[in-house]
Amino acid sequence: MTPVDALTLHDDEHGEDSYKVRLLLAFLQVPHRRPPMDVYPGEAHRSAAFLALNPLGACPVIVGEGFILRDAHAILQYLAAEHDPAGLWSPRAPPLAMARVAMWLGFAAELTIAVSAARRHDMLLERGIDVAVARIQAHRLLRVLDEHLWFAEQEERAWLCPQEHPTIADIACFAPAVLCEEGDISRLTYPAIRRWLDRFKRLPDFTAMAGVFGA
Amino acid sequence: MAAPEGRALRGAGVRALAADRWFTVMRSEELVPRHVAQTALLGQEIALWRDDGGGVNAFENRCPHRGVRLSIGQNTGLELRCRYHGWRFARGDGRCTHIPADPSRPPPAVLRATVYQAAVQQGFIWVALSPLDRPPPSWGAGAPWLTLRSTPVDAGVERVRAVLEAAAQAIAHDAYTFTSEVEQARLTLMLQPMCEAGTVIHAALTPPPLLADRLAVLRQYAARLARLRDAAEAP
Repeated sequence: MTPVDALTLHDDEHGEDSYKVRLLLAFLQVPHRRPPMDVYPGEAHRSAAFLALNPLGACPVIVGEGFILRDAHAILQYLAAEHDPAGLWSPRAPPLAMARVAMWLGFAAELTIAVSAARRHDMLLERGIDVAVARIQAHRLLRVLDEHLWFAEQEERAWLCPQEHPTIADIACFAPAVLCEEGDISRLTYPAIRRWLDRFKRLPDFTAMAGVFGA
Repeated sequence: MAAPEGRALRGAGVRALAADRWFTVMRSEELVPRHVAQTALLGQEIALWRDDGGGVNAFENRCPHRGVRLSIGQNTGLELRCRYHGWRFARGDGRCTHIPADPSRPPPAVLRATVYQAAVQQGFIWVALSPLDRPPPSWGAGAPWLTLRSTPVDAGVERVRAVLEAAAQAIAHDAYTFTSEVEQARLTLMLQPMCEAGTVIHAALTPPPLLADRLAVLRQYAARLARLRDAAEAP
């Protein structure tokens, strides 16, 4: 078992990527430390101390016994492999099951970039963001996600990948999809996404964040 | 819709045209228990929810207290609970049943959510913004049909109509209902005008395909409707 202080999460309370990691830590009940980090307005992610952990200056980062790991999706893969021996959250076989999760992680990365830009524009008044382009891109992706989830329902599947259990791909897509309206990206025309968000929120050990409500 | 500017749907203009008729707003099986769906009709946002008795409720998507969207609220089975201050509105008449900040007395009877008429007919949920004394229409004399995936389009209803008539050789039965003969089957298309720049195409196929072909047929028509959508959205 991991001692309580073995894993440290450095995260941004409001960021989509950080939320993904907090979700999986809660689902897997992994003990960890989470020192307060003042990303906004304190810009703690640009401090010398944080840049020593991640020269990209981006959250989240986890620090464990003898390693530092950045990139939300890499951290999800690590946590699932280390703390979910049954491979429910991140299947290790068959090859196609692995590849499908990787495919949706790639999709989630694109969705996160678009949603994050729109949210930072609207909520943090960050300058230099082409918010119209970000919203168009988010809608292009959400339309694909909604159709995929609609057909999943028709096949009596609840999640992005064919497994009965949700995977880290659901976590990675959930965070930007549930937060997108804070960037004025409406889910009005995505009813299947809205139902999937409800199913996800009802998972045991689901954890919320500011702006995310229970189902 | 992908109308980024402003939260309000502009549609007062379209609304005057057709407030006194039934519109399809969703496939009935998609309104799952303990969920609150969000839709819009003629510029009016609607929170749709199914109560535990199976009844379908269509409330104006606005809490009468502080105006928060009820579609982010909670479906408790008998009531819709607003996310903001926990006011609860009963299924059926939308009457406010509980105000957490004032639990000592029942809420005044005048407090209620605005309720629209809703009905289930031929696998679809229908909503009318004005009270009507007739049931929703029954197309194809109520013959069994397969409800297809509804297709949202970022275009106004006139544009969608024009594309249906030109590209799909669809026959208009009224301003919002079209049929098209396809491979020994009849495709019925019903338009839901959401707002000035948004329409949903609801669709059903008569007769329904064999069960074994169902998924393939659903995919085939989803692709076909996506092409119509793309044509309607093209500049």
